[in-house]
Amino acid sequence: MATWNGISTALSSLQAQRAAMDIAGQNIANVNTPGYTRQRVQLTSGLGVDVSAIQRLQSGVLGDRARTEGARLGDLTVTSTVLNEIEQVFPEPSATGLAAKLDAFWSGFADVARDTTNTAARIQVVEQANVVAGWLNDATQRLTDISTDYKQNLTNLVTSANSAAQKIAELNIAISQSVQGTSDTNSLLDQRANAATELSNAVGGTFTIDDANIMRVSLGGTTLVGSRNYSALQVDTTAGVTSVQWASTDFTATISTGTANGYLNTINTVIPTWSASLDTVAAALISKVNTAQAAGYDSDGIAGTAMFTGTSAANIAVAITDAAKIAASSIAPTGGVASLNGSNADVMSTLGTVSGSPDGIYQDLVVTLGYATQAANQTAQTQESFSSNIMSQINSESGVNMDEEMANLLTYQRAYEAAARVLTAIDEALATLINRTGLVGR
Amino acid sequence: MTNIGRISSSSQGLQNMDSVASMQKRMAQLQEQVSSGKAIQRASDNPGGTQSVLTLRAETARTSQYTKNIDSGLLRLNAARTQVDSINDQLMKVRELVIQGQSSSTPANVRSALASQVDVLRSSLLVAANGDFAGRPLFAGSASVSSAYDASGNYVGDATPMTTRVDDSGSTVRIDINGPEIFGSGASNAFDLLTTIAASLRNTPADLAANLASLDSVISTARGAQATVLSRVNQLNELHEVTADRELGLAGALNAVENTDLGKAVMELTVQQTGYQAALYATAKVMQPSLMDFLR
Repeated sequence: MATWNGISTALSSLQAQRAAMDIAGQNIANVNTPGYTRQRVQLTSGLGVDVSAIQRLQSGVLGDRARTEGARLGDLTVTSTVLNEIEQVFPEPSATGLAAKLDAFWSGFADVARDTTNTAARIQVVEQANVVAGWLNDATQRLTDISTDYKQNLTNLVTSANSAAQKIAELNIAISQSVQGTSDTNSLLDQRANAATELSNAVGGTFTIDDANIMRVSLGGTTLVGSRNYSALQVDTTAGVTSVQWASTDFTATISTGTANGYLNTINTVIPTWSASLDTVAAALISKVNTAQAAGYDSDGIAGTAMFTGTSAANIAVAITDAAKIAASSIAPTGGVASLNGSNADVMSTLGTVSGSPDGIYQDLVVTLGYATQAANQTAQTQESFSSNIMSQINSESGVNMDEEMANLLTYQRAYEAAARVLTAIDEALATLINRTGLVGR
Repeated sequence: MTNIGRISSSSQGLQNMDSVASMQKRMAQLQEQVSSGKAIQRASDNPGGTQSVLTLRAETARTSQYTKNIDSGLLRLNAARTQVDSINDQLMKVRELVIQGQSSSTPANVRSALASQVDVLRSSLLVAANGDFAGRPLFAGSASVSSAYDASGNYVGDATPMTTRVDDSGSTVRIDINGPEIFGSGASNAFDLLTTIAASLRNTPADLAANLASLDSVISTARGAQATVLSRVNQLNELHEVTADRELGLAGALNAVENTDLGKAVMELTVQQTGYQAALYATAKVMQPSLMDFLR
């Protein structure tokens, strides 16, 4: 019967418009919520109107892209941050860097060469040798400290990746048990997408979502998150090389992107590389100075002994404490009397310019590091704008626009008013029919 | 901004924040440059420039040592020059005495007095020969001795020259002259000759002619030494000029690479500030209105 249909039609409209207004309200409430995906009621006509689903307006393709680029950004950001930290260890150009210390060291030999009987100049050389050796020890220590920090960072990161993986697995269960196309499920999907972003930023991985809306994550072909459970990761440092492995099997997990990859590179490659470079500086210093010392005679006419001991930046130390031991003379003593000749000290004052000098190697190190840092900064910056581009694309598709929601709110409100008016009209018509008919002539 | 149809409220805010933040970063860099006065704060700011700075600084340190080498060499050579001049004067006096003694009209007692004067000049020469500079004998080479000649006039120094480095090419300059180079060596050295002359004056005036010939040879050696010292002084004086110019050049080059071009940096900073303010203004204008402002 048409009349009664009219009432339920109007009622369905009232309900549908109210639901739509609720969703607009939900969207407005979440305008600033990170990772929120805007929703829209899907209305279908039937007897009246039906809310067939609450859509989550998001493109899966863009989400995948965002995760991939986000992981790459994490990796590159770590690389650039680490290089900037290493650069602080080599503060050049400045008066506190090794270059200035070496300059002063060689100058000290020139002072001795001018007057080999000048004890103050000799003591100055020994002091400066201690300064240079101390600087090298410190720099190595600071590189080691950076590496230690990043090992701790990696451990923390793996812990949070595990909890993100766990969260995805738990949300998979919750989503499979909930009714699809409702606002509640949509919020679970948002939460899962956030956890996926967190996991991807940390360790990368391949993300797939099947028809049943289950998210699976694999890492180098091995399952990290399945439909109901996840495999935990752990950090391993036993073999001298730091790696991330599967907690259950102790096999090494394949990590090729994400922040974890940046950390692993830092610990296993970057720090050891610059540390080794510093060692070549120290080795050159030790060999050049000791060889020159051996070619001369000290204040007492005794053949020069080694000034430095050690083989690397970590263990270089000054072997002589007595300033008389500086082999300034290149002339052997005659009749047991030492020569005042300063030619050997003069030769040592030029060790900073000879081929293979520690200065040259150090300068190469600083400049190479400078170029590497500059390149890493630029790459990270490019990746950042690339990622933020994708984010803004996602945002433009999934983010809430207040004006749009206001317009929707208006539309639905008007529709609600109109439906109410329909109800009133039918009501009045029925009232006429019931109360006014059959009263002719009364 | 990306070319997209739909803009969400938060992406609008984020984008504005991005551009404002990048401007702040650039401003902070410029401020650092202006306040520190250094154009290169860290190697990655300008790796090539860093290389130049390190090279130039090392070269500056070396050049300042060359300047010190040259100056200390000059002091030593000037001290030597004073002594060599006086040595030459005294040898000329000896020559006059010999000529006086050679004359047949000079009586024996006068010759004896002349001989005494020669003895005095010999001691005086020995004092000059043992002159020192900064606690080290001037004419003893590199020997660790307290004086170049012993009391009887024997050279106890060595023949190792004192040299000093004056430039990166490894050129060295001698900054001394040793005893034998002034007084001659072996049997014909000045001190032995003066002893012989004194004896000739006293006992065998006939030998004086031969002694005079020997003396002329000694004087010629001493003159040669005087010329050598003078030329070394002149060489060092020239090198002093050259090195001073080099130091100035290096300071200029270093300044150009290392220091902030203040005018340029301040100008750029002002431009950045204007841009920053414009961005803030635009953000404030764009972010404010929404549909709500126009609904009743």
